[in-house]
Parts: sequence; C-alpha cells; structure tokens
Amino acid sequence: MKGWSAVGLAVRVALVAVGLLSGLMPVRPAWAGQGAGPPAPPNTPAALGYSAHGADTCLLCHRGNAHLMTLFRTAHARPGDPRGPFGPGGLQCEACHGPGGAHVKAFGRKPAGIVVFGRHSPTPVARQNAMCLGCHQATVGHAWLAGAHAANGVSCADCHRIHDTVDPVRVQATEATVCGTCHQAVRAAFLAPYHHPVPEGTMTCSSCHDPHGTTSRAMLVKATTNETCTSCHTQFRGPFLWEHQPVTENCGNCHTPHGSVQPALLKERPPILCQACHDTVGHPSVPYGPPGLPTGLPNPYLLAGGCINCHSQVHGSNSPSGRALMR
Amino acid sequence: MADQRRHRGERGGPPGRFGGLPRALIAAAVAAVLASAARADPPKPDTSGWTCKLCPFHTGASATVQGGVLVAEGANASSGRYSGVAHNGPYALFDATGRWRTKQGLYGSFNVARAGLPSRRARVSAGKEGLYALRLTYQGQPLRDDDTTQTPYRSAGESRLLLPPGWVTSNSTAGMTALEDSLEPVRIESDRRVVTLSGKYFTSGVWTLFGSFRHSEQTGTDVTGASFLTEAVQLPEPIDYVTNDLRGGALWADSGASVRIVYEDSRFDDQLDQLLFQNPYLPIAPSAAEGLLALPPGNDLQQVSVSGEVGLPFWSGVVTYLASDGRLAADGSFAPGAALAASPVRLAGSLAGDIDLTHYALALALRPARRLDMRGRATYDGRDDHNRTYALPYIVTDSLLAGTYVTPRYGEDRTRLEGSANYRLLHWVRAGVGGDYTHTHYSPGQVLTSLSELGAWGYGTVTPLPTLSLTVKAGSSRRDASAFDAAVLPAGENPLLRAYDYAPRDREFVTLRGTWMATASLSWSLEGSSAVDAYRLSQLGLRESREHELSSTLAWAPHRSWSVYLDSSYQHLEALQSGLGTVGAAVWQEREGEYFWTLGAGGEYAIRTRWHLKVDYLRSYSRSDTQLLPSGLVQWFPEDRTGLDTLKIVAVYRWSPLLTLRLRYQRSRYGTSDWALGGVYPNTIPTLLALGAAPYRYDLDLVGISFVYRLGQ
Repeated sequence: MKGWSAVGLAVRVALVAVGLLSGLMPVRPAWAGQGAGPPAPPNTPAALGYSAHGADTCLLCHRGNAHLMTLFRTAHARPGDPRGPFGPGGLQCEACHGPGGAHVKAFGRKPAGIVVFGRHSPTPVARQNAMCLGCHQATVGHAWLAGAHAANGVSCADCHRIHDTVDPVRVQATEATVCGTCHQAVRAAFLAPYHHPVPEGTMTCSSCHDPHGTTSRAMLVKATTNETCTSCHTQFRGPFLWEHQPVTENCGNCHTPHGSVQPALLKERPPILCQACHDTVGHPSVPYGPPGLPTGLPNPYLLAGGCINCHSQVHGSNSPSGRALMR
Repeated sequence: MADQRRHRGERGGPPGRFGGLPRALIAAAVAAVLASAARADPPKPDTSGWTCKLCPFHTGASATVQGGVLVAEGANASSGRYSGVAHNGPYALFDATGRWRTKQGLYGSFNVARAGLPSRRARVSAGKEGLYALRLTYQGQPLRDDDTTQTPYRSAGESRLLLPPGWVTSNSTAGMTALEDSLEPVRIESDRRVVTLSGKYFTSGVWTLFGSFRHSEQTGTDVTGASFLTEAVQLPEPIDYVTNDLRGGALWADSGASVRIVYEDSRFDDQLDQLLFQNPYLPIAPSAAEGLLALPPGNDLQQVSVSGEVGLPFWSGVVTYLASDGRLAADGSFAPGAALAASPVRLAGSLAGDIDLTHYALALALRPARRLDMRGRATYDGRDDHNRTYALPYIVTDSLLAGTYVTPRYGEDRTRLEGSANYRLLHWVRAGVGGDYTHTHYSPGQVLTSLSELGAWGYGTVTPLPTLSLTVKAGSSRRDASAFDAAVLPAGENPLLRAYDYAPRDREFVTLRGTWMATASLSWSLEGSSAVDAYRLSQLGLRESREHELSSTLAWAPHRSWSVYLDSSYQHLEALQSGLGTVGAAVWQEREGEYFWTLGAGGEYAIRTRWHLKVDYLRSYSRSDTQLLPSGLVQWFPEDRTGLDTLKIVAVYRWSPLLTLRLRYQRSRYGTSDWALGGVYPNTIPTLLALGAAPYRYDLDLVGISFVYRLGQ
C-alpha cells in the first residue's frame, strides 16, 4: 500500500547493499566454521594441527565404541560424497571435532582442543554450532542466526544424534518427543482432547515450524500464520466473495494450534467465542445461559454448533447470498 | 467505496503481475554471488593421504520387517480419531525399513510404517552420493470425527441431499413425525492422502537445484449447518478436495553467503462447488423448499521468493534476508445466490482479481564483543486485495430478499521491528533485554486504520553449576488502536463490531525455565509461564484474559538396564467478556475458566539381554467452568470435563540376533461431559434438526503381537 512503498524501497536498497558488502569482507565469518585459522604453509595436516592419518588415527583408539561406529551407517560417512566429511578431500572425524593433533599427542588423555558436542559439553555452544554450520549453513541453517533457537543458545547436538544410525529428530514418529524435551508446555498441550495429530505421528512439529530458523515469528515455515495454516487447509485460503476479516488476518484469532479442550482447536466455545467480537444489540449478544440447555428450553444458539449451526461459512462464502456467512 | 477503489488502484498494473520486487531481489542475489566469488578460502589441509582403511563404510543391503496383528476392542471414532483404529477387530501390523548402498556411491532406503492402518506412511529414497537425491513419500491422515451421528438425509449425487419419501415437514422437529424412522447413521470422517516427490541435484560445489511436487486428496464427510431464517439443520457435508503443490528452485552457497531462489505454485480444487439440500421444515417462503450452500472455491497461490544470508566483515555479523512476492486468486465459479433456478442473483465466472502477498525480512546478528551478542529483525507482511467488489441483492437463507450489499475486501500491511542484546555478566550469569514494535495498517473499509503495539522484555539466566540453569524472563506490551470508525462499514454491517484483536490492550508476562542435572543419571526440568491481557478500553466483548502454565519432567536412569520418568503439567486459562443483550439492558458478563492437568509416568527395564519392557501411564484431565451474569445473578453452566487414562505396555523378546518378538498392550479410557452436545438428539431442539453427536467416550483395549525379522547386515 502506498504508505509503505518507502519501506519496500528501503528494503530493496538494503538488500543490494548487503549483497555488495558481503563480498568485500576480508575475513570469513565465525560461523564459516571448519578449518578457520591462520594460513600456515605447507598445508600438511600436521602443520595445521590435524592428526597424521585422519579417521585411521582416531579409530585406533575409538573403534571399540560400538555406538560411535554406527556413524558409518549414516549420511555423514559416505566416501563418494565430496560434500561430506568422509568424501574426497574431507577432514573425516576432524571435520566436526576440529583439529585433533594435540589430542593425539596427549594420547587422548584429555580433549585438548577437541570439539565435544552435547548440552553439558565443555565446548561453547557457539563453537559446537560453528562446526555444523560450516557445512550446513546454506542448506538447512541459512536462517539459523535469525531464529529463536540460536538466540537462546541451543546447540545442534541438543536435538541431533549424529552418530546414531537413525537420528530420532529426523524420524517422523519420534521428532515431537525430541522437541518436547524442552518445549514441555507445548508437549502437554498436545495431550489436550483436541490437537493436531502430532502425538499420533501423522504430523510433526516441523510441519509448521522450521527449527533451523526462519525470519517469521515462531519460526513458522511460511512468512505468516495464515500462509502456514492454509498450506494444508487450502480450502480456507480463499479469496472468497464474502470474507470474514479475523480469518483473513490471522487464524490464531479463533484457533489455538497445539491443543485445546474445545472442539476444532477453538480458543473458546461458540457462542462465547463469537460474542467476543459480535457484541451489538440483537441475537448475537444475547446472554445464552443454562436455561437454554436440554434440561430447560433447548436453544439452537447455544447447543450443538452454537452460532455455527447457521453461520457455518465462518471461513468465507462464495455464495452471492453469503453476506452473513450462512450460505 | 471510492476510497477503496482508489486504494486498489494504487498498485496499478494488471492483476496477477509480479511487480519490480523480483528484479531487486535478483540484483541483490547476483551482487552477493559476484562479490563473494572474489573471496579467498582459508587454507585446508591436504588429506589425500587419509585412506580411512579402518572405516567400516556401509555397503550391501539390510532390512527389518515387522509383521503381526493388532486387535482392538472398544474402538470407536473418538478413540481412532487420528490413528484410524475406529472399529473393533483385527488390524494387520506391517512395518518395514531397509537400506542399501553400493561401493560406487549409489544408495537407497525405504520405510513403511503402519501399513495396515489408514494412518500409514511410506518413504523411498535413492540417490548418488554428491550428485542427486530423490525421495517419494506417502502419508495417510485419517480424521474420524464422529460415529454417533445420524441424519434423515440421503445423498442424491455428490452435491445434493434429499429427505426420504414420506417426509413430513413441520415448523418444529417435534412435528416431523417421519424423523425417527428416517434416521440413518452417518459417519463424520475423512481421509487425507498426501504423496510427495522431491529431488535435489548438486550441480557443482556451490549450486544445488531442488524441486518437489505434492499431491494431496481429502475425501469424506464433514459437518456443516444451514438455516432457513429461524430454523436450522445440521448437514453431512461431502468433502472432495485436491491440492497440487509444485515447488522448485536453486541454491547458491559459498562460505560467506548464500542465495536461495524458490518458485511455488499451489492449486486447490474443490470437486464440489455447491451443496443443495431439502428444507425439512415448512418453508417460510415458497422459494425455501430447498437450500443451497456454497462450498469452498478453488484457488491458486503463486509465490516467488529469494532468501539467504551474507556474512559481514565485522563483529562476526550475519545478515539474513527474505523477500517474497505472491498472488492468490480464486479459481472456482460462484454458486448461485439461491437454490431456485429463478434466483435473481447469478454471477458468472469467479472473483475477478487477486490478492498480493508480499513479505520482506531482514535479520541481523552481531557479536561486537566476546560477551555480547545483538540481534535485530525487520519484517514486512502485506496483504493487498485487488479483487473487485460486488453490489449484490441479499437473499436471506433462500427465503427472502433483503436489500443490496457490497462485498467488503480486507487487506493490511504489517511492519515489525525487533531488537535484543544478550550479555554474559559473569561466567555463570547471563542477561538480556529486548523490544519489539509492530504497526499494522488496514485497508480502507475497515473499522480501524491502524494498530500499533510496543513491547519490552528482559531476562536473566544463572548457571551456578554446569548442570544447573535457571532463566526468568518478564515483559510487557501496550497496544493502541486508531480511532474506531464505524461509518466506513458497508451499510447494514454490525456498527459496533469490535474485534478483540483490535482492542487496545496491556499485556504482562513472565516465564520461567529451569533444568538441573543433579547427577549423570538424574535430571529435572521445569517450565512455567503466566500472562495477563487487559483490554483497558473495552466495555463490551473480551475484556480480560489470563493464562498460567506449569510443566515439569523428572527423569532417572540409575542403571544401563532401567530408567524411569515422571512428568506433569498444569494449564489454566481464564477470560472475562461482556455483552449488551437488548437496548437499555444492563451489560452482562461471562467468565470462563479452563483447567487442564496431565500426569505421566513410566519406565524401561532391560531384563538381561533378551527382554526389554517399556511401560507408560498417562492421566489427563480438563475442566471448563462457565459462569454467566445476565443481570447480576450468577448462572453456572454444567462443568465440561474430559478425562483420559492410558496405560501402554510394550515387551520385546529378542529370540535371536535376527528375530524379535514384540508384544503390545494398551488400555485407554476416555470420557467427556459436554453441555453443548450432551442430551442433544436430532429432535431435541425444536428449531434445529441436529446430527445428534454424542460427547466423546471410549473404553479401548489394544493387543498386538508382531515379529521383527532382520535381514542383511
């Protein structure tokens, strides 16, 4: 709209400026990760602080750890993939754990600069994540630093189990369990009588949220709440001939997404929900109370669907007679 | 109206044309690509001598297959709402997973889960390492809403509902003497089936091409309602939806920047445009012997977006950006204005025009000092509705003509600015402050022209021990609205309509999060929040709401062979709202409280090396209290309650390294009391022919036995 064209122009100019600026930077950003350090010719592994033989050095001690060895059944251990740590030219174990030369020299008695992953690791979260983002920044984490997980110090290893053959957070049936270890209130909400089928495993948290960060609120997969909801509920996307303003603005005006004790994930039950806005004189605002229950004089404004018994097209109507969303 | 037309004309250009935004985005992307290409990478060790002789890379094929049977007793729609286990009897259990890989780098995998249930899913992946990856998935999503419903309507074709021969019309359900004999069960249920094919092609070190196609079908029956002036009927609405989504794009990524360009096209098609249904009542007007409901029209959403990030040459800075431009257009014809062929309202074609959906986002992350990091974000979301308006004669519920009304169009521009700073004061103390400002500008024809909200928050985290962390965050916000202008509403629109999401509001909140890993085997976590919203100027509608939550998990794994957990949660929501029933009457109030508790406990126990036992128990309970004060006298609604008890036991016996026996038992008991549904049968309400849905209730037993066999290495 006209009042905001200046904002649009400013953003466009900023985008071009940022694009140009980025190429002029003399140093790699911290998140560029692996291998960061001063140039030190010659570029032998030892000269740069790495082990002499890569994974063969590491496995001399660590191959007895069965859990660790399951890495070789994962996508990280694909020798034909030049993008992977075990591909041609890859840094193998040290691609993620950092240069291990000092660790080897210390006969493994202490980490000695090795990056250790996990929630209670001595390695700072920023350094842990930098190792992952060194490869994954563009593919899955391009908005990582714009997201809430980065802002709250979440490490990649808080959610991912890299050495497991099957990473639970990447399995549809177990993803929500991983998310729920931190998001306890949301996990509890999914136990409410009405919820999206996340506990049943036909949806996942990542159906709506991108845990690797987005520029939208709540790290939604789309830019707005409505675009996220209507990517599945496409029948409500409209546009309709007659629209309902709260619907076009935000599905969250009436619905709560994770779980509700009210049908259809509503915030309240009709007619109470509808009367939060429709409060004028007339039948919308009549206080329908217990006398309208089946034990008294059963009231259609109150029972079964309440307002929806007549105004069933609350998401919009394509009927020329749909003014009151009844057709 | 004139304002609205001017407003729509501001953007100019033919409908559906993408503006100059993509050019700006592409220019930004090209600038990032060209500029970053000049950067030098840091030295990398020469690892050509690292032969990885000790690495046991996976080659060959392996698979796990599970087959068995699941028997359900006491199942109904509410117990199988999302799983599809909605009937008593046996269900086939079949799960399989497998993978293969060649020395040449070709690989593949598959996974089939719950093949015997409507909630089945399957995935097949294949690819060549470093070159391409393909994936095909299938997901079934059953929705079993109700099997206690009944109706006298019979389907006559997909889009017409007829009453049975001999139907007796009346102005009250009590007078519909043929009703009882005409009722037939109707299941309110649907199935969604989603097939997705996606692929990636890695063209070089910095380019990746990707694309996907998703086809979704949903068929079944839903509940809808319709009225004939003062009389209404609940109808079984047929559903036949198809959505096709096409997505494709390219990713360019270097060490300091990335650009992702994506095009998406999503088309929704409703196979049914309208639903005709006979009037079971004595028609108030001759035209109202049959009614007509419009069903959701088809639509088409096309979007192009550019996103990515670039590193800055100072303070480890990173800028993340997104720009997206889209158009959403109706792609379905209008329904007739009334069921009768002589209806004066017949619109040809579909909505002329489209809605522009525009999004910009720019986020910045900086670390100016070792202890300090700062973030900022600016976003813009625009919804600009270019659809034309129509002045239409209004036929009220197929019964009578009641004037002419103009279809309103709604649009808004929302700009949001956020900023925060985090500082590590001490090794064990971290604190931060932040704020946000949101401004929404509404298109002409709405009761407000703008809405703004300003918020601020602060938090502190203490970590006195590496294993103990506690964070407290608190904040408040204030929302203000422009003057309320009822005059802009179309004639006949509710002049006092006051959306609570518009009302000036004060919000205060506090959250608490704590984790404590007391020992290597014992951990405890806690999460709580409290928020209060006060609609300070509202005399009617929603005036106040409160929300309190607390949840906790305790886990103990003292030995490799066994572990236990205990978790619980509590949620309390409260709302107060007012209304004005009749002219001159006192304002009435309604207070609603919702309470929801959960308690879960369980554990796992490995008995030597052969048996593994897992037990989970969950109890959840909810209660809704509604209190009405129509004229100073308190009226209490009956409490709405839900209660769920579930016990799950899974025992696994490892017969041999290749063969495993899996036994499963689940007992779930669920009950509700619901004043809106309880005791409401098809003829309970004189002016509503209801479907008679009963409150959810089940007493379910599930017993399963299956064998798991492993093939290959």
